[in-house]
Parts: sequence; C-alpha cells; structure tokens
Amino acid sequence: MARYSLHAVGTDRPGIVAKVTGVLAEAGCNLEDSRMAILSGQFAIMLVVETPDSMTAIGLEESFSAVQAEYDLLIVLRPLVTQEETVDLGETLSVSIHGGDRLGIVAAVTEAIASLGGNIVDLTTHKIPSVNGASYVLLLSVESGPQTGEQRMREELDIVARRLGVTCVVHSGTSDLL
Amino acid sequence: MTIRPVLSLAELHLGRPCLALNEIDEVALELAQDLIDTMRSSPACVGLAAPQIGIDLRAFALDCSSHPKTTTCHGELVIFNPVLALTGGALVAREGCMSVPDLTGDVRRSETVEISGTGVDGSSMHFVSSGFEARAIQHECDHLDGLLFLDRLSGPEALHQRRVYR
Repeated sequence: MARYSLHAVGTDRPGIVAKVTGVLAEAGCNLEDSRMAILSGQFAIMLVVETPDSMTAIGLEESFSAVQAEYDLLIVLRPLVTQEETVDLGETLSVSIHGGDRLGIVAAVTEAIASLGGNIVDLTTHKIPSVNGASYVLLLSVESGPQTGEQRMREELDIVARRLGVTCVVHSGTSDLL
Repeated sequence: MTIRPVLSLAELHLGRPCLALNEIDEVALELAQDLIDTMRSSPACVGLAAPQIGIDLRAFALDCSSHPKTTTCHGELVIFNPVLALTGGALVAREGCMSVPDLTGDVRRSETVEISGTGVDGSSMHFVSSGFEARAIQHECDHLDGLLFLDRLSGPEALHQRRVYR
C-alpha cells in the first residue's frame, strides 16, 4: 500500500467530484481525507488516497487521463510519507481580521504568526467590493506553537492590526471533550 | 470498578434511538457505575452516554464540576430516561467526543436547558442548567437518539481535525 496526495484544479463544472472519485474507486484506491473549494468559479480539491499494492503512481496518473481531458483538469500526484514525530503544537486559536482592503494584510498577519512559531492550519479570505471602498475579511485557525500562548499572539497581532488599520480578534479554538 | 471500552464512530449503532429503562434495577445501577468509572478513566471527559459503552439504553453520566468553563453545575450525575427541553439562547462552541477521535466541530446549542429524568435512587429529577453543563447535557442526550456532534454541524467548514501529539 502507498499513500498519495492528489490535487485536481480546473474550472468548476457539475460532476467533477463524481468523476475524480469514480476514477479512484475504479482503481481500488481508498479515499481518506479530502477538502475542496471553489473560488471565483475555479475548482480545487485535495484528496489523500491509499492505493492498492498493484497500483503504481504512473498507473494512477494514467487512469485520470480521460477525466483530465474531459474536464480540462490539472492533476498533481505526490507520494506521502507518514511522519511520526513528537511536536508540541501549543494552543489552537481562531483569528479574525477585518476592515478596509489594502495591500499586504495577509502577508503581514501571517508573517507575525510565523515569527512567533505559530502554524496556520486553515485560512480563508474574502474581498467584499463596495462603492465606498472594498472591505476585507481574513479568518485563520492557528496552532500557536509551544512558546506562544493566546495572550502573546493577541498582543502581536494587535500591533499588526493597528498598523494596517484593521480589527483583529483572537480567541481560543480549543475543543472540549464531552 | 469496571472501565468499559468506549466505542468509536465505526462501532456505534448510529441513527438508532436507545430504549427507555423500565425500572432502576441492579442492571441499571451497574450501568450507572460503569458509566461513572469509564468517564473517570479519561480525566478530560465530562460526560458519557450508555451507547458509547455498547448499552443501547437511555442513560448518561455527567460531571462538569472540575471544568474551567462550567458556570451552572449539578455535580456528578447519572440520569436515566432524560427528557430535554431547550429553553433559550444559542451559542457556538467547539466540541470533541470520546467516540469521534481526531475530529472536533463547532456546534450551535441552546444556552439553557431544562432536564427531567430518573436518578440512581429511582427518584424523579428535574433541574435547569446553562452554559457548559447545558451543552454537555445536550451532547449526551444526542447520543441517546443516535446522533453525534457531527450531525449538528452547519457544514464541512465547521469540522476540524484534532491535531494530536504523537
């Protein structure tokens, strides 16, 4: 058995997911985790798949040729190596940034998070056009890293937000086991 | 003391409501003790429902007394045949579940609840709860109806992978 991450990108059309996952099922691949998104009519999906012993990476790529041509998809396959390492992830934080659109918001915020050892695990941005000037929303889920707590992250992002003239809210995204 | 294995998503009889107990007999009392013992074996766990240990009866154990988010608290409880009324407010918070390892989800739940049922001594129970304890009660009652927090999510974006220390 081998595991791969499979990435498919193209113009959104009904039936893409059915076709892509149909190829995988036909090839005997087990679909594990997946995530898809559509932005401005562009479709992207990332899937983690486990392939049968008899399936080579080249064979799997070739099995997509018909779907790739039919839907004009870019398909990328990457082998996955299981990592078993001890990592202190710190706290899970939710960060929301919003205000007037301006150049460099995402770069400045993510740079601040990276400088504190934080790891971004989810990110969504939206630009909202308006006659009075566009607004911007940035939502992040962040693992703070072992050296940085919620308070430290909030202080650092507050500085960045003030410099950018946007609002920043940081709150705990830690789950409760019920 | 009996610590029972907690069934995972793949093992639960999902979508099937549990049966009401006809009486609080020795079997019911043994179930109550197993729920408490199993819940206690996981320090972070504040509640456990009977189907999670493979018993399809309407009962759950609860103890939110040591959780930092707790406001209203009725201490350690086992409730048989609970009847729940959602009485107001709505809050979204992130939940995990012993039966759903590796995933958490943002779930909107009533801020206050009114619950009635039968206690381990066979007497009727009735109380009002709010905040974190109310959330835990709703989570456990869902188990008795064959539902998981996964069934309460607003959409895929509300599901999160619990990153664990390996």
